[in-house]
Amino acid sequence: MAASLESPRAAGGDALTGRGFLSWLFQRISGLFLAFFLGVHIIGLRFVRDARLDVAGVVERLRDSPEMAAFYLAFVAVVVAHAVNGVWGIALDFGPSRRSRRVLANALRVVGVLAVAYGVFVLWSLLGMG
Amino acid sequence: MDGAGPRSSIGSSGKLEGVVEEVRLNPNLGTFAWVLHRLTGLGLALYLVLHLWALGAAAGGPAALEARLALFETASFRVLEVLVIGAVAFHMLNGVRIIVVDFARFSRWQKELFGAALAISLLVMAYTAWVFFARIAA
Repeated sequence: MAASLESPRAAGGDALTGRGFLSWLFQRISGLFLAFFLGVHIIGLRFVRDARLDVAGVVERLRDSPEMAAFYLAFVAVVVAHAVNGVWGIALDFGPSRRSRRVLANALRVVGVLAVAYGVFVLWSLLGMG
Repeated sequence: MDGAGPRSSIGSSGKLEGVVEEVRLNPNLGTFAWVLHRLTGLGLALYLVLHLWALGAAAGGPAALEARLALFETASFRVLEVLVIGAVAFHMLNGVRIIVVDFARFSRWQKELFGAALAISLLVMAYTAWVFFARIAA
């Protein structure tokens, strides 16, 4: 069986994180955070307080607690980073050339920054709606 | 090693064939878990884009947001939402499985852990379907 001869470090050595190891480690740490964040996000929305899932209810809860806005700020950053890093990991399994890796890494950086910026914009819009 | 050198990915021709070859040569539970983790991951990344786009209508005020969210109030989107919840549950539980196998030397129980992750995800999906469709019927 011809397994990959390239070490993870060599595969990711010139892109995104600089080291495959950091990409691997980040995915595990951010994954643990997300297990907590998503638990609060999904279960919390259903069971917290009056559990109103309409726009007015969600906006009211968000406006009433700055910690909830801060929570979502951290959430969107971590979830986007985890998604982008995950796509990167999948792409590496297809053995892209060095050039492809560089293009992809830059594309993922741009997509990631735009997605987080859009998430902050959404949060800002929701907070300003009340 | 760059693209000009010998292909370094699995299999002879690299690219997609290499990944397919990996599944063919190693048709075990762990490989299935690996494939499912990636498919749910990609699905959730797409869901994240849709989720942010939907909430982006908040910029236009409450009425615009209500109108945007109403687009998703259909039976087919309810089915997709149940799948999203199932994907979240599986990706989360299998992610924890990967972490404990990587860090806590649980590799002896990786198949049992996969079974538990899959079973709990299916239960969560069943519960979600029950809640969603009971709400529609009501």
